[in-house]
Amino acid sequence: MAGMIQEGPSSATSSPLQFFPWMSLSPGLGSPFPWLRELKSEERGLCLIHLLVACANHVAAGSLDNANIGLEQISHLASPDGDTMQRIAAYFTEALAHRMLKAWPGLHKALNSTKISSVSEEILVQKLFFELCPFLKLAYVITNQAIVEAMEGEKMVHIIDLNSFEPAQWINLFQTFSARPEGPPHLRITGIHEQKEVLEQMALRLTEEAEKLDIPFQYNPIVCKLENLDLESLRVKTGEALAVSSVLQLHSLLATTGDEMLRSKINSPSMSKNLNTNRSLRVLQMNQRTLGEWLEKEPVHIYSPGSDLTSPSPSSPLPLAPAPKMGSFLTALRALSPKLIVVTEQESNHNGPTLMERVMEALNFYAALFDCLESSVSRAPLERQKVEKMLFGEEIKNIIACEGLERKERHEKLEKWILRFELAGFGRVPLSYHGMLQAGRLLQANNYDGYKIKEENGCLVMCWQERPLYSISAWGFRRYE
Amino acid sequence: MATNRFICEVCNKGFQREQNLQLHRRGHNLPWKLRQKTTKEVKRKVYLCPEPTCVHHDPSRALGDLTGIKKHYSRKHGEKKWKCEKCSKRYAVQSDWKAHSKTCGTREYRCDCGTLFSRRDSFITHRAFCDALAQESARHPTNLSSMATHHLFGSNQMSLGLSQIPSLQDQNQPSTNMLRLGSAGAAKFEHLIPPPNPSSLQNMPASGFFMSDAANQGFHQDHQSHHGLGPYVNKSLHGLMQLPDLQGNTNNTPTSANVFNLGFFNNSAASSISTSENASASANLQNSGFLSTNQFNSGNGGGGGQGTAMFSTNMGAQVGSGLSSLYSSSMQHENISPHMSATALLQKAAQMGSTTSSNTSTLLRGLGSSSSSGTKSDRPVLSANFGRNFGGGSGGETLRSQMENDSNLQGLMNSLANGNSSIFGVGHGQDHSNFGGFGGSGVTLEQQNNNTNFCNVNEAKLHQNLAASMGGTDKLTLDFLGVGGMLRNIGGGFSQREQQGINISSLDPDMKSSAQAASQQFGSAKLV
Repeated sequence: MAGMIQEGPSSATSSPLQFFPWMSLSPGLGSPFPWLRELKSEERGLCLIHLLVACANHVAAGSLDNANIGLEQISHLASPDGDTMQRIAAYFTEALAHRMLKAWPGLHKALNSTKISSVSEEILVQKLFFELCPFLKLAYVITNQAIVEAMEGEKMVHIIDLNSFEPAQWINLFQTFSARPEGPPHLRITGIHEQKEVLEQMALRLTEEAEKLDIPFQYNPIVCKLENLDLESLRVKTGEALAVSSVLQLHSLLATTGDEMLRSKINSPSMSKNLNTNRSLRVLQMNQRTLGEWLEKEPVHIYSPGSDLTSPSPSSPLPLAPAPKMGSFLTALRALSPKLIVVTEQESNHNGPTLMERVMEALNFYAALFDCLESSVSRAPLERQKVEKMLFGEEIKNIIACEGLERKERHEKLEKWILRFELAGFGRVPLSYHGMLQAGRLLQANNYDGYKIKEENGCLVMCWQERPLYSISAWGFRRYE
Repeated sequence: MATNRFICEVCNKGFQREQNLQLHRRGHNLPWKLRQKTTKEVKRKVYLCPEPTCVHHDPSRALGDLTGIKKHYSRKHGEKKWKCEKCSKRYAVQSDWKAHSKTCGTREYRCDCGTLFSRRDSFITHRAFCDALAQESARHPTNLSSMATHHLFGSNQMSLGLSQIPSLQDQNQPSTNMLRLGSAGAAKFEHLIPPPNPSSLQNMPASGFFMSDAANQGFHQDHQSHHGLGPYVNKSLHGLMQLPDLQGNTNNTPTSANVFNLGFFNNSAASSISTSENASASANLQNSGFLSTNQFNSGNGGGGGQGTAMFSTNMGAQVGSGLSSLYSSSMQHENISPHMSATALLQKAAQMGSTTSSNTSTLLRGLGSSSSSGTKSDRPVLSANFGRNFGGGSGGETLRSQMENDSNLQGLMNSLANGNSSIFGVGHGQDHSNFGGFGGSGVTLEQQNNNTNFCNVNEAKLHQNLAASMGGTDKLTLDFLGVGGMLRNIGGGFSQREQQGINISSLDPDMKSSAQAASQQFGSAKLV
């Protein structure tokens, strides 16, 4: 037996142990593994990846004991102060641990009850992300360019900003507008944010800048969560040209519980075309997870009557996770007949029904994001750590540990957003080459290296080293004959 | 009172100028004629600079007015008699001197290194290189935010007003070229590499590649500084991110770096590399390929000496050598070796996973190739598999295969813990009823048909515990190598001959019989 065993590793072919030569040392499973200490960074990184995937599998399968062992093993290697892979692993394991803890809801609640969330820290982290990575700046530049082009000739412009926290976004627009040959339009910006202080600050800065540039300007702050936003209360006046800017906000509207999915599916009239009663009964009997699988296996196309006639029906079986909140939001938005909606979103599918799917996608996405952040800010580890922990870490936690309405970070890829908007009755507004040029200039002027902007049939995608990270698309009101 | 010499014949209105009268006549519908101004044809006096060597000595480059030419002559060819009191600037023309002394010291930019600037753009350019500022900001990280807060683009002139942009770019052209080579923007000089160790410089050709004034101490003395090479990597030095100290601090670092290079160069094809670095990169690739097999054959640390030697010969590119020397100082700080980016690691894990041909590999392939565009994996099969198996696969089956997979890994760990002897004990308690499960996972097998190319090699060599691999889905089914489930993925790759050829005498007798029974069954299924 012993002889046989040793035959394996010595063969020249690809036994997995060859890649982990340290594994053949096989010490006992005491704590800690001594060979773990001798790992070099790359091997450690690879080991971390393997362990993470394995642990996530356990969590997904519900075998918490195995997952616990996995977490223990990872904890020897991961660290929020280590290299990139170590940090990523640290945040992912934290998220997995949170998810596991939810099996004991009381425990989970008790542990999280004394968490002090500092509003100022959150605001700071948002600003840090704005400054350290160019993505927000690029999004703003491209958004503004699209707005300027769409509002050519308009005298009254109303902009709804779904997450109004950075004055630079609109100051930039002011400058462009004031340089317009026909002069700046009457500008009204409605800013939405959850914190009053942020909006007050915005109002101050923006009115100050508008005065300097002599632009007739009005800022309407609205303190509320996006999902509670009542679009009709925004008092969009007739004669105003409406533009909506949504930067990394819309995906939170995709949050939904399973029951809602069921109810909305069954009750909506368009669904009745596709569902017969037998199926709906079966749907009721399934639990959430298998419903998700069912959805995946039998993609249901949600046809709205109008789009059948005027637009080619989506023939690709891309299943869209039904999201009633999104549906009603888009409908209400359409009722305002906006001239332009510019949507910036993360280009990754973190809305998959299964945990493993989300874990893998998130691993790839956040690995790129961590790398990107790393390369931009190696000098200020404290700030980078803040962004990683409070921004990315929280997103990762939400993606992995939360379900249902709690899970807000439901990022979806561009193709799905395109589907959603088209189904909602919006027409695509291609983003101009000029916008892409300006974005490129921004990158060059500030010496951002490794970033690329790609164009994909009218939409722009911001990439880091060939990995697409954020997508921007623009939509407009489409009239049906 | 001005004389109105020109009188309209119709209404007797007087005009001082004939032109005005003519215009007036139009109103009466009288014929009118406006005379062209002949004064324009009069030749203007132009002035030439008397200095024959001057450009403006040439009539085609003549200047227009007398004062201008006088000023020009003084400025260019005269002595500078006027001196500013505050600074040391001298002027030949008094008006220049006056203008300067008005603004001297009033509006200036002062870098922390003490240099004064009157122009904002030159100030910014300088600051990017300035090492003193680097140290300063190391202590005060908030400087970073203050610099970029006010404007989206971090520069006053960089508004989106189109007219301004070209000029700004022209001014910045030389500076951006320089900047691109070494450092990031104004606030990002932290990327600059630490000054090379004088000792290690002896081995390298002159690091003329790097700006000499970028001799910067401005980097954090922690292992995060490795990332400071990020821009370098991303721009042109892919794969040469952190090279080992050529003095050979540790034995292991060259080897890991070799592996690193191997993996990383695979991924670097997509990015733009200059031709010189490309040459060196490809050279490195070949060599490191050799080195990596070295590593694997001889185990850890074996390739150490060779690695060092190879690297020193490979470093024909100045860049690479400079880099390795530069990191010698930082290498001494901690034991952690240079590492690759997380995305590269993920891709590497995916590639590695393909050769292990376990279910883990399919997931790991998902790791590497889930990004939509151009990950330059040299196994297109992988992405196809990913699309088929992982992304498109039905949730249930994938889940089950994942469960199998994780039990593999768990078994891997456990086997190490318990030693090999207990494997069979663990694997003993399998359910034969799980053949149904196996049938289910047969779907997975079909999808992984492409894997058979890889798998066949493995399973020929690996004397597997067939029953263990084919039977249990969620038990810990392991082969003696501690990696079970491999064979599960191999569609019909077994031949009857091999199954019988397997020496399973060492196995538990119970297993042996079940194994053979299973092998028969499997052979007949022929899931290919």
